[in-house]
Amino acid sequence: MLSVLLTPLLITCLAVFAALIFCVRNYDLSQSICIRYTLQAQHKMQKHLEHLLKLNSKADTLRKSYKKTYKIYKIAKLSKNALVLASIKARLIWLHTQRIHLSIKQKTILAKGKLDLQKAWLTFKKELKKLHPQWIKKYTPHPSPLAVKSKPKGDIAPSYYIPSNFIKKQKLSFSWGMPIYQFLPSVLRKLFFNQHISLFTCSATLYPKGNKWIAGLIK
Amino acid sequence: MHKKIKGQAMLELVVSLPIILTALCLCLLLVHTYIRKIWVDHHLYQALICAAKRQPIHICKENLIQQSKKLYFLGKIQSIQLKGGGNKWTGHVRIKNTTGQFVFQNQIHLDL
Repeated sequence: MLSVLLTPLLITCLAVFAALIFCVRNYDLSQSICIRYTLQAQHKMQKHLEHLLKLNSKADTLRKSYKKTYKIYKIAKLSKNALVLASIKARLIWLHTQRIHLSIKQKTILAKGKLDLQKAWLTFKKELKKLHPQWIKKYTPHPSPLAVKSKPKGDIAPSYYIPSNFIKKQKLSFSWGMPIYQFLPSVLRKLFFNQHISLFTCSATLYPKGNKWIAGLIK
Repeated sequence: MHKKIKGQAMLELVVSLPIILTALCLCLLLVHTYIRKIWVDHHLYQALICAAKRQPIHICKENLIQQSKKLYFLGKIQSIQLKGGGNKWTGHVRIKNTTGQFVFQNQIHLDL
């Protein structure tokens, strides 16, 4: 009699405990996967950012030289000295080519950044799928992988600078969640859950450290 | 004959009941201890993540205390430490309970 009463109670208790342990362990594991990939992505962004900022001095020099040469060109045009005019024009073309070359470098860095973010997201999805194939993953891609601003705007090869509130703007978030609605009867599912639910999010950003940047977690 | 069987069953019950109940209690205690360990480990890890997110340490500690108390309602949290900076954090929780003293330790190192 006693064992008839106690056995289901014991089994229920053990099942609840097992479910609790399973949830906690899985959450920790999925969170650590998320942290790893967001941090890895930001670590790559840090390299791209430093590379992009390093090109600023060259961008400034070329822009100033171009402006200066253009002014000289305007004056030389009035003097109508063909030889001087040709040499200045040649310099202008050379400077312009250099700026286009620099612009390609800058755009390549930004494109690589975007690609790295996509790669990180795909790897995160793949790793999470290994853990739970049905888990939902969500990521809103940034229009730009680096939250930098260009100056002057519309220039071929602008200088990039760090805007105020960069830490927040550079935040990269991956979200994931359990599709709880799948366990519900179809009536309840229609009533309460007509879309996926994202329960958990982890985010990383870049923090300044001296002259460098380091990837770190953010709320 | 009937009385004899009834008496034997009663005797068996009297002998086995304490054994069954003790085994059951021990089993539940063991499971509960294991869950408490997982619970505190989990929240200590969350507190370290919270600190790595550059949140105020007192908030991370407070969360850890609140969560630990949920399963250690009879115990007393003797000390909680979260040490480190940036992406490197170590933490420990010392809880004194009626069954003894438990120390939980964890660390995270997020530098790549």
